[in-house]
Amino acid sequence: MKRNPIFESAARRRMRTAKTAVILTAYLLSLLCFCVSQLTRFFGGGVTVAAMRQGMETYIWMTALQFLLIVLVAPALSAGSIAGERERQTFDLLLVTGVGARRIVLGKLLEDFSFLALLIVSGAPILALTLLTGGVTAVHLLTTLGALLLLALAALAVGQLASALFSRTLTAIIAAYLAVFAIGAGSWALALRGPLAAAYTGEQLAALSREGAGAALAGLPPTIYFNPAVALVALLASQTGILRRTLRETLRLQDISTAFAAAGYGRVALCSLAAIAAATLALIALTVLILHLQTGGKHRGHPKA
Amino acid sequence: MICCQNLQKRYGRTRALDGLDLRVSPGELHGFIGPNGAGKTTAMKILATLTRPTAGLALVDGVNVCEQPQRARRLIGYMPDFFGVYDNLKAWEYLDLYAGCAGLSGAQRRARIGELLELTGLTDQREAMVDGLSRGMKQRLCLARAMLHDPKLLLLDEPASGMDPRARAQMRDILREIARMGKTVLISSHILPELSELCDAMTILERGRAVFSGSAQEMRRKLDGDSALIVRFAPGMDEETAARARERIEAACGARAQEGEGEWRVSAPGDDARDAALLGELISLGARVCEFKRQQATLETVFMEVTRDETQPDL
Repeated sequence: MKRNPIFESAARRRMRTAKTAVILTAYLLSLLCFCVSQLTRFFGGGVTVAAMRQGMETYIWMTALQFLLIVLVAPALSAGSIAGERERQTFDLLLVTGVGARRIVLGKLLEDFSFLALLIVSGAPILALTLLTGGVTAVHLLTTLGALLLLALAALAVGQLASALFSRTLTAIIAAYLAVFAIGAGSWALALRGPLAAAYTGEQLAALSREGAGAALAGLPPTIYFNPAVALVALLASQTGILRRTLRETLRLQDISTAFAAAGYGRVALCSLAAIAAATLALIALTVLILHLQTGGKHRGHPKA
Repeated sequence: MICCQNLQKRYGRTRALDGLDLRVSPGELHGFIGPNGAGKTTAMKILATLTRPTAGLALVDGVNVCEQPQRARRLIGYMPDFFGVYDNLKAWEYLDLYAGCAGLSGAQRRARIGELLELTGLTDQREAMVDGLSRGMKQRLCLARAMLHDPKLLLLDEPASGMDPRARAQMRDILREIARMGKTVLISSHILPELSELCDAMTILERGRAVFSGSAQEMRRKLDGDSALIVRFAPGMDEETAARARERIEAACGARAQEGEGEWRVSAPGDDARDAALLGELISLGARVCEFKRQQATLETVFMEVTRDETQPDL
């Protein structure tokens, strides 16, 4: 693969700052403290049901923590990528080198992604402490890690689209958060109440489980697949079984939980991740297209600042 | 190398460029002079493919910058009037980034960066952080960046603004070197003397239009045309000699002499042979000449003259 100079340069700059080291240390320390505080009393006590249960819960909480990190950090991270270059007036300098919109977008995205991936992957050994109590397997861990990385990329892609659309970093960041929030809440609300909502009757639900997984998957409101939280909850539910009850009893999502159960939590997670991956690719392509139109043959002139 | 015809650019109701015509021949160091807000930066940005003109034609080496921006970008090196540098990046890494973007391979990049650091006198600053460089060094680094892909044409927007005299002199030397390399350079400034000895030709811009365009010789001829002869006499000269001296001077120069503070001033084009003859005559008359000199109009005066009609506020 051809080296991307924008990626290299941005990565170098980021790794030189003390901020990066501080963020990484603080993040890993807090993850470690949480994990150890939850699990120490079970270490060395042999494999017991209580230990397994605690291990799985800790695993779920830490995954949720990482997910929260992604949702909170990623939009701001990538929203500054292109808008920041515009503000620093270095964007024009990149353009006149003749470097295309595709390489700018991919270089910037890859660099932001590497930073998030560094956080997520370096947290993996701490997550792996839950293997010691039993209940969680290495395959579970790796699958979740993969899902988190995909969600990180998706959130970054949303932020970068905002970055290409707005010339000010602050506007882009606000737009990116609003967009991420809208995707999360919107896809859920649309699924539950909107025009796409399926109002399941008892018979329908029964029918869903009778007709098999494929029909159940198709029967779910399609927008729900684009909700990253759904992807993660379904994944964790399929791995641990704990979240199934939470969905049903704590969140009172009787319909959804029954429908998920009928379709199979693992399959729901897979469909959702696939949908998010496709949407991410579409977002990246859209960002490249927008940037190309802004700067390429048919660009609009930006008024002098 | 550059050909602009009736270039226009409007930002809302403001006319940044109002029918600019500009011609720059290959290998020429062309000065682009005008007060702030005359449209220099806009014209440069259009040529650099960063802004689209509202109307008009802009060609660089025969390539239309609006229709084939990617082709034009390979021909031009653009140095804007701001630094555009990053934090936490070393000088060579800064150049490496843009060299990579311009599509140079690893070995090419190393060689080219070495050459350009040498040319701009920054070899010692190779490992220095960009944000820690002095203003003059940053500007030279930006010039090096503009030249990474070996462009035929350099567009330099106020390359010497805010520099101290020593840094200016360094920049001038580098520009001379670049001109020797056969590059075409369009260099803008709002300070005329900065460019006067450097350029082969110049265009003076005022309110988005070219008000003067020509070679440096034409510019100088214009300057000579506006020069003045100053003659000062030692005190104690009798009135008769003084009157005859005045007669001779006015006859030779064909203009009236203005008297003030013991010296006479005649505005007339210079002519060395005639001036020498005049001095001989004055001395043979017995006039006690103690100073006889020609004062060239500065570029500033010409500049003010050329742009006078435009700079008057039209109330």
